[in-house]
Amino acid sequence: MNAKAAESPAPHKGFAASLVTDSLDFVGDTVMLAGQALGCILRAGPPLLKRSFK
Amino acid sequence: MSAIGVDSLPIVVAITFSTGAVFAYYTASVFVRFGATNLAGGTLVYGFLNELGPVLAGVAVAARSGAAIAAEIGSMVVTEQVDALRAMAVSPTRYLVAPRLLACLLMMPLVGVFADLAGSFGAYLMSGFHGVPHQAFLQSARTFVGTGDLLRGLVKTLWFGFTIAVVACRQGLRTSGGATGVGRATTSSVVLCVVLIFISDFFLAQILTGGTVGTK
Repeated sequence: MNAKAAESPAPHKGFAASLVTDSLDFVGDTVMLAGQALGCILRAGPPLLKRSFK
Repeated sequence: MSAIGVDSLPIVVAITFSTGAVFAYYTASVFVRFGATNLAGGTLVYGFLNELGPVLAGVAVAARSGAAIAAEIGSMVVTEQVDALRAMAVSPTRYLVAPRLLACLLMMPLVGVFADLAGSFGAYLMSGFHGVPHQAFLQSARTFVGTGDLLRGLVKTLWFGFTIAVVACRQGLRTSGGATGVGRATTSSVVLCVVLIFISDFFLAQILTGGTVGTK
């Protein structure tokens, strides 16, 4: 059953539908990554600067 | 920071210098024909500081450093080094993405300044060859261009640096399918960065000028 399911082709998505889902996926991913990275920089930055200029 | 800023400088300077020279090659002769040599410097430098310098710097850095970031992170993903980081409770965002984002944010405005300088210098030299007096060029640039134009360009480069780092890291982290996948991630990173730079440039131009183009 599982082998059969693995062999069956993925459901066909239209061009517009796949474009929209890919774009939303990209935007969501990018915003989340940017938020996390900026959070890291803002959290790690001030203590690092304080230590450097001690 | 060295890979993104210093190593990109020769490419950025070469691209912007030649674009400035070509830009001046076509426009200076028109200015001379219409007797408006006193407008050449202002037009060319204004165009470079606001538009061409930041965009060309962004495209060059996206093509060079963005591709390198995507390929580097992509190959780490397919060789399961990123999974190893996660297994050691090290966040890939903190370890891989944040330093690259910080480097892009710090270096892109500097690269943008060099792009503006090289482009304006190319335009200055080529205008001189086509009959625009050097003094007229400099006087016109001083009259038409202000600090606001330079700052607008620098804000654009800051945004482009942010876009390049985040998009390249995202494409790298989403890599799958071995060596082919790394190639695909690199290509898509460059394409997305360049397209986003041009699209966001249109909106940034509207937002930063506030609909009052040409006022110093």
